[in-house]
Amino acid sequence: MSDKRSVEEIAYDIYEKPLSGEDFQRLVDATLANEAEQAHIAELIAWFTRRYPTAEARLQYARKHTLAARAAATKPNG
Amino acid sequence: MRVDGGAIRRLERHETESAILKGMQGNVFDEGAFFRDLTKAGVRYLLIGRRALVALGAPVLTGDYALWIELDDTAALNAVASTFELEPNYDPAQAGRRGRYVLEGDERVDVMVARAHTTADGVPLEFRDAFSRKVVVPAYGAAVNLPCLDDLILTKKWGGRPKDAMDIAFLEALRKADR
Repeated sequence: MSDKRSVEEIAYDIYEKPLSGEDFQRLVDATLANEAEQAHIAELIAWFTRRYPTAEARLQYARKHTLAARAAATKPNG
Repeated sequence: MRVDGGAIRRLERHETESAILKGMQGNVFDEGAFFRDLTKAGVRYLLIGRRALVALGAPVLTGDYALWIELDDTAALNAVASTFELEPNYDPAQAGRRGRYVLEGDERVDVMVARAHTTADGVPLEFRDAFSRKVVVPAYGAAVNLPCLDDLILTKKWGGRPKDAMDIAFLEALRKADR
């Protein structure tokens, strides 16, 4: 059986679709109980705060990547 | 001429930045100036959403800004925003009734103006309480206001989306890293 949904619809269901209060709490609890996930998140934070030690540097990082994504999205094909 | 790897990387970075700047043509939004002007105008605001996570140290991606402001400061925020060519999609009275509105232009700023909000499991949070507990971080010569970790976690519960659950995991990890 093929999935006829668009990429945007699939992404919405995975990341954006609001859950019931119970389901959301279950997901939070499961994420916090996942030791491998927690270790990975801790590593990401350690890298990010080491590489960008100030709030300003981190905000600039986010801004730079937002603008890069927009530039890529508006770049004409070919 | 001998060209080392570092020079090539610098050239690549320059080309990437040039491409970004080309994509920015017409973009008038200066993030630092925006926060400085909010401070100067005395707008009582909290930066919420993923950009608050970024400021605290979580490498998450976001394309917009989210602010929670004191309802009475809506007009002051709109006045600052207009200098950055950001226009509200509702007037202050309508925004107050709806509890939120959007400032739109080259950037998109979600603005929450509700005086209080409650999570699905019944935990209330009032703006004035959250503002009194705010964490102020210096950036761009301004004081950027963020909710404290506990309050930011509550704001993430409002959305109830899978990505909010991941954001809460980042915030809990930041709390552990801060100990």
